[in-house]
Amino acid sequence: MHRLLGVVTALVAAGCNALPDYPPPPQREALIRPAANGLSYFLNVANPNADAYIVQGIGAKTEGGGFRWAFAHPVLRFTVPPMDHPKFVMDFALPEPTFRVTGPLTLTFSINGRFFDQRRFAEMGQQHYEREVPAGFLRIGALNLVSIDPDKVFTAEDGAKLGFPFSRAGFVE
Amino acid sequence: MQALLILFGALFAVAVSLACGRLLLRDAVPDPGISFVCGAAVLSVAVFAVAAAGVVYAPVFVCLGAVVIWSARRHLRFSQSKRRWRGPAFYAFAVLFLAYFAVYFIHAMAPEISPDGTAYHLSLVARYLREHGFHRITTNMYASLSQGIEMLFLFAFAFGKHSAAALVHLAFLLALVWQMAAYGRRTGFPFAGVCAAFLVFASPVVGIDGASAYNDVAVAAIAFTLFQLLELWQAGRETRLLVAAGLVAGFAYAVKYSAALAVPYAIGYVGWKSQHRWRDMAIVAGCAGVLIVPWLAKNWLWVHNPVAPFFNQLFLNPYVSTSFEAEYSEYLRHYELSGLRELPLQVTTYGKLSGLLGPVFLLAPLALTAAFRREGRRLLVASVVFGAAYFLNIGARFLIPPLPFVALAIALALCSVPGSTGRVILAAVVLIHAYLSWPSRVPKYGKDDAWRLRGIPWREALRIRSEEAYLERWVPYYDAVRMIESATPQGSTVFTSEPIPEAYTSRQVLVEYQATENQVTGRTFRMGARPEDAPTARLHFSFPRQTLRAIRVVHTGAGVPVAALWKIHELRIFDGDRELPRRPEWRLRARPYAWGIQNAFDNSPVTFWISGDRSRPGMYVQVDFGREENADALDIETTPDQWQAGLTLDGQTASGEWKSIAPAGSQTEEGRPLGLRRAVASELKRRGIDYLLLFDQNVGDDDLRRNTEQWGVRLVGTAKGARLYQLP
Repeated sequence: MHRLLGVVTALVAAGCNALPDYPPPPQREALIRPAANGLSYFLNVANPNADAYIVQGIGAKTEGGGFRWAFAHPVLRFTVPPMDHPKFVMDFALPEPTFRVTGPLTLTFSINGRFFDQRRFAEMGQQHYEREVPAGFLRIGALNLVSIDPDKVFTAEDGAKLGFPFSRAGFVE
Repeated sequence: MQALLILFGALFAVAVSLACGRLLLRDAVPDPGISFVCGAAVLSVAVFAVAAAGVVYAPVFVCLGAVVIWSARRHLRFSQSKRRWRGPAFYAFAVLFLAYFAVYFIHAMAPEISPDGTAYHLSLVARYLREHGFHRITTNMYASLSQGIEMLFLFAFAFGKHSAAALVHLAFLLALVWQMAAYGRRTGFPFAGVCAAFLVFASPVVGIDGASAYNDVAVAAIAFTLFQLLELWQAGRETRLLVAAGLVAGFAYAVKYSAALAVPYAIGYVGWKSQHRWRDMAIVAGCAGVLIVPWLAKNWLWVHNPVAPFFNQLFLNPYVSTSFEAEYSEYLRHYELSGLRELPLQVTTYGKLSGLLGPVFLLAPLALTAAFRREGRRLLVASVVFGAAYFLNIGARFLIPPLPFVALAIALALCSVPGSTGRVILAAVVLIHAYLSWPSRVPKYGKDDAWRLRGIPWREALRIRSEEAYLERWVPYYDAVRMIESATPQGSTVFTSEPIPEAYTSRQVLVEYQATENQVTGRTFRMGARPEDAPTARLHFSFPRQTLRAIRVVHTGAGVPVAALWKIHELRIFDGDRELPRRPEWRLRARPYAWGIQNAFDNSPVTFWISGDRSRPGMYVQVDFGREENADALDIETTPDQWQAGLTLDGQTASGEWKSIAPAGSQTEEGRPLGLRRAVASELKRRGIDYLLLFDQNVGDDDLRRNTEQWGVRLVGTAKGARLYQLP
């Protein structure tokens, strides 16, 4: 009986513990990703390289859970590789304290100095903007400037003209 | 013609089972109900052998059946009990039984519409027939369940398809109620026996289950047969009955894991009552093994877990993850109930847990008073044994196996009341049950969407009216399945997140929740469809440049949601700006979930390793360099839901010593890789998927609709909220 138990235990143990190790597999072709350093096609303001994307009108420091304030005339820059149906996206917010003063906000988007879009945001809270960029707006493989002008700003106690806080902006497919 | 084939398939399977039973029992037991169930056990294991040999063809079954029936021809007479009960009430009961039987027979004959029957019981049966036997299936956990009853379905299905299988299951219901009545006669309570048999027979969930290609009613019949065989063995001590009891106990396991307690019950009973304890227990155990071992061996060989898809923690394997098992088991223990207090009314009256037993079973506590009699005590013990697994799955149909014992105990308790009062009350209970359980009455008090019989589809049963309209009306996603049949070529593989009635398609369907591999496929698809599931997070660990033999990322479990799984899309190691090339002598190790770790080292962001178990301290991923390497940083590319706080980095120095080299990493988030959708579509294709079937409610469906061109897929069909896309 004891011998049988021993055999069963050994079998179970062998079955349970024989976990494999593996060699590296054949390497596959990588996809294009935004560069970890320097300039690329997508900005997360919490990243260490965020300053590289800012031309003007954006707060110098990342605050709270990872946002920066955009002021009256914020301008960002991106280098854009060849993309399939590129869209410009932005995650931002209309916080209650500023929204109570400014009310609904209209943002005017320009790409490389060309009017791209104008959209009104009538609700406070988290917002997501997304729109496909028509051909001809972007300079592929080169620097592209994007300005996002709010129609109203909130004047803070220190005199700063606050437009909206945002966390991400850039081009996606 | 189709109706005749259905009847032939079912009757042939039943006749061969009966013949097997007679060959096994000879004159030891004259009861046809017991013979049928014992013979079904034998036929089940015989069909398993046929399927294992890869010779599942209708002519093989014809030959097998003919040989068995021919061999048993001299034993096919069933002697009748001398203690007959033929009072006026007998005829009243006969009318009630016949009325219910007619309804059940029509439903079983009608096209199969049951959820599990169409989703997996019969889809696997159809696949075994199509492929002429078993083949290794690792993408459907239901294929790893023991399928003792499906072997009988396969025998009948080969001739009469789906409805023949359902009729075979109905035969188990007849065998059960026959035996209950016979038990009443044998123990001197014929009225109680017949009443209890009717209480079970008319129960709404028993009716629909018995008329469908399920297995719960079969388990009840097997349990009751075992109970009877053990009692008969105790009275006569015939070894033949011990053999039968062992086979039937093993058959219980072979039909449903939750009935596995039948084996210790039978062995324990024999050990308790036998004078040759060890010999008799060995006979029972050995015969049970004949039915059990084939299923254990099949799973051990093919999915590395003899009791798959359960106990994956003990038998780690790449096919069913422990996290899924935990989640699934948790659901089955609670369904959508807010608390177990709801349970009695839901399982008896309202039917929120997939069907209802009937309100009269609220009288179940009365059964306890049967404990004053010896017969009652035995019935109650059996009800506890066969109901013990109930709380692992609280669906109402999981109460069917103990139900015959409870019903008999209730009836026995009422008949034990002195005078005729108890019998009158019992008769009233039966009449009330007959009234309340009639299919058209059930929705008056039960939930409208409770699993129950609907209408009397006799035209569909006889195939006077076409199956199509009936199936379209009653089978969810039937249109989607027809679309798959018409829009895809033979041999195609379709991936979907919803369980669809696979029994009506010959294509291979991979349902997301049914296997780890499918779950990875689902996550891969959503990676392209939802920005938050894309690999945009990077965890960066930097440490002083040093010489290492191996490096290990260890999960500390801190800061991680309870149910989160650890996931790595790519793991890269650096020496300055140079990424260390992944040399062939590297060895990649992940514990406790070893499989798929190569996906974190293939340079592709669309493949990933996932831990398979909920994130917890001690999990690790290790790279053994096979030589000394200089390194100063490590990056993990993953999804934003992976929290950096729970990881730490250890390194193995040249001396072989392990030490902490970076207590925590820093997290950054980047944009989605370009060409991600198309890369995901290619990856799905590489995983063997030809088509994606998406429904309105599926996550990612809208992205595929809006960005069809970017995915590189082609819409090849639509049907009532479903869309079928062909992968490039």
